Amino acid sequence: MSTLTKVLVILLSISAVFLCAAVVTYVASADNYKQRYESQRNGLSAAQQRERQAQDDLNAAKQEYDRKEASLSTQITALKTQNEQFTANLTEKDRQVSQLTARLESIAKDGQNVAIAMDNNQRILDNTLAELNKVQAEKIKLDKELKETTATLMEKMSVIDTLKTQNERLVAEKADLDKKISQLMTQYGKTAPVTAPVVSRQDMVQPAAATTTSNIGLKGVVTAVDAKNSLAEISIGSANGVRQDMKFHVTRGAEFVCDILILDVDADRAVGILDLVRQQPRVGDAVSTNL
Amino acid sequence: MSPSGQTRGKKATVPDNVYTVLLAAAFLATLGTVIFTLSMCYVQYGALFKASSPF
Repeated sequence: MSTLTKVLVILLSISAVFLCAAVVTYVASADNYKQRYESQRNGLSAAQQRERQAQDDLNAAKQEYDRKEASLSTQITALKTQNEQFTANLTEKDRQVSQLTARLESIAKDGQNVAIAMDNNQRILDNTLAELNKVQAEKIKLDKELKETTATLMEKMSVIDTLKTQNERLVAEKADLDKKISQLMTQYGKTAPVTAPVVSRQDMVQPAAATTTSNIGLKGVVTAVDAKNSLAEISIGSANGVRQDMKFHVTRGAEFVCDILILDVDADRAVGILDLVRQQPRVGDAVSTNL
Repeated sequence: MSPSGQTRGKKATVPDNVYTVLLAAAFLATLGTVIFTLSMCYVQYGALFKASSPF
């Protein structure tokens, strides 16, 4: 074998070893483009799917936006309408406030006038109360005098009753004596003279002319009856308009009982004498000025 | 290659079989490299010589 051949064999072997090493190194370290392609394609598919999803979301969001925009437009329109109404109401309220303020000022002026009038009325009331106190003092005094007079009257009435009893007893004794005298005179053939008793005529208390009361229309009830003295008390007095010498008719149901001629009047009661007595009046019988 | 040359031994020479072994080794290395490259092509691209379309 020639030397050249040997050299070529050695060079070929060395170059083959180096070339193979380079190729193996390159192939071993080369990128796996298929794998990268698959990865990129998967990424692309995922990106496209995300794009579609995003597009769908975008469309849904647009539809939602449109729907909300329409709803909000409706609400804005309603709120604008309400705002206009509120503005109109506010204007009306302002006008009413102005009117009420004017009325309040007028009422304040009226109140001042009323206060002045009340002061005047208070002064008049004070004067009236002073006069009333005077009248009440006089009334108390007159009541006292009336009570004293009534007591005196009752005493005199009791004295009159006693005298009546004595008179009846004396009349009875006289009748007995006349009878005895008549019997004695008959025994001696004489006739006894008729004697009249010397008794002064005792007039009953006669009512004065009654006041015309047919148009007054007062009504009350009998609260007390003094049958012995022909007196009765009724439940109404001067506070109701009862005056002295008024004539009241006493009724029980539909029956007429008697009349009462007022002799004395108190604030809430009155006392009168019985007249035209058909029945004896009782407590609770109705009295009135009109039948 | 005859052994007579070595026995006379004027100068040491490499026997010819060594060069044969070198050529065989180079061939085997090249063959291994081809097989490795083809296997890698088949594993990564699924074909030995077919270029895959991108899409």
